[in-house]
Amino acid sequence: MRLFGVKVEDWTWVTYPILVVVMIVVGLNFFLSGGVESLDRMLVKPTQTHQEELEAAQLEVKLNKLRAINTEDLLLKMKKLLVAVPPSKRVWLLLAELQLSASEAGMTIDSYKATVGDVKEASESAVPVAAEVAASDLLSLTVVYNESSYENVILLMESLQKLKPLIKVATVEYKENKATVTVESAWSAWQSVASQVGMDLPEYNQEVNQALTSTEELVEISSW
Amino acid sequence: MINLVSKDEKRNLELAKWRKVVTAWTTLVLGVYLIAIAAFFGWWWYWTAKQKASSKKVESLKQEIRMLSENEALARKIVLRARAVNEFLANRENASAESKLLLVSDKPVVEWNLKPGSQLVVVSASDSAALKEYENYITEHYSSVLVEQVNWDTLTGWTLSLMLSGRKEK
Repeated sequence: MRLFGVKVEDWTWVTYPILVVVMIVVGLNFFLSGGVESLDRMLVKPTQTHQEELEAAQLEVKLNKLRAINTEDLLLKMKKLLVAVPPSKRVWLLLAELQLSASEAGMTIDSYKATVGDVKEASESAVPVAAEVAASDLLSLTVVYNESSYENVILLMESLQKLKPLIKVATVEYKENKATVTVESAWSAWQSVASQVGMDLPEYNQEVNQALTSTEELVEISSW
Repeated sequence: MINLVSKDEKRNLELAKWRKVVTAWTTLVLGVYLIAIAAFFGWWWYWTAKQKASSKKVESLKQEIRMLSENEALARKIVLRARAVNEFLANRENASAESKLLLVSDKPVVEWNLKPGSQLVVVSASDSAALKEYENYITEHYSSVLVEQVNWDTLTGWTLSLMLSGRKEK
């Protein structure tokens, strides 16, 4: 068969390179025009995978730490820490502490004056508003002791500092055998803990052990 | 010399030569293209499979962590409580040690006024030399010692009033 004076059978082989060229053009066109987005998606995979592998490694570390937690032991430690710094203002405990200290120091209490504020117990999940916390942050009590020598004051200071819940002596005015002592009792409301899966678990052992060691020798006033 | 090869045959030979060259190059290009495509898809498949595996692993780890959320909450709460204890202890002045330090035999403390950051102490003594001795002793322990008053009268005898701040060693 002849077309424009050329034998068609002699040129059939040309279809092979033409088909290959068409295939290459169509393929490249897919990647470079319509398929750019999918190409981007494909190329981003190594980066994503590396990030995920890194995340997995961090999560694994966290998971191992969580598995290693001995909840019973931690709850026991928490109880001890709550005795040192309770979650609410315990004004009656503070009074008991002051009475005990006074009797240990051989002093008699003449008067009390307390600044207590809100004493209701915050729940574990409560998030106190910052202004609220600042306004009612302190549990402060001023005590006047009569007929006391300076040696009695020394004993009183010693006694106050070895009690749980923790007490801070804010001011002391000792004059003419009369001592006026202002103390602040430790307390800290429950704070909500934001626990996100991706967040690192804090290293708690060192801080907890330090707190327990510092308070283990202190005398606990039994709850009222 | 007589050319016995006809024109048609010559053209056919030329055509066959071109056909060989074009076919060979086409095959080479096609081979390279197919290898490149196969390599690309192989790479893509490898990373897709790897990403799927890592996503699955991350999700499973997250699930396990969620199941241990109570442990996590407890750990976070105990840290906050321990911090509150440590901060309270670090911020409270050692009033007991301060009070003990001020007491020296034969020089009774007649007045003591402790405030955050500073304190006033009044001691009495038999003579001015004893008061000087007390001042020297106090200067060893406080970086700032201000003599407020030195008094003497027949009723109370010698008294020294010092304003102290900046404890040197605790």
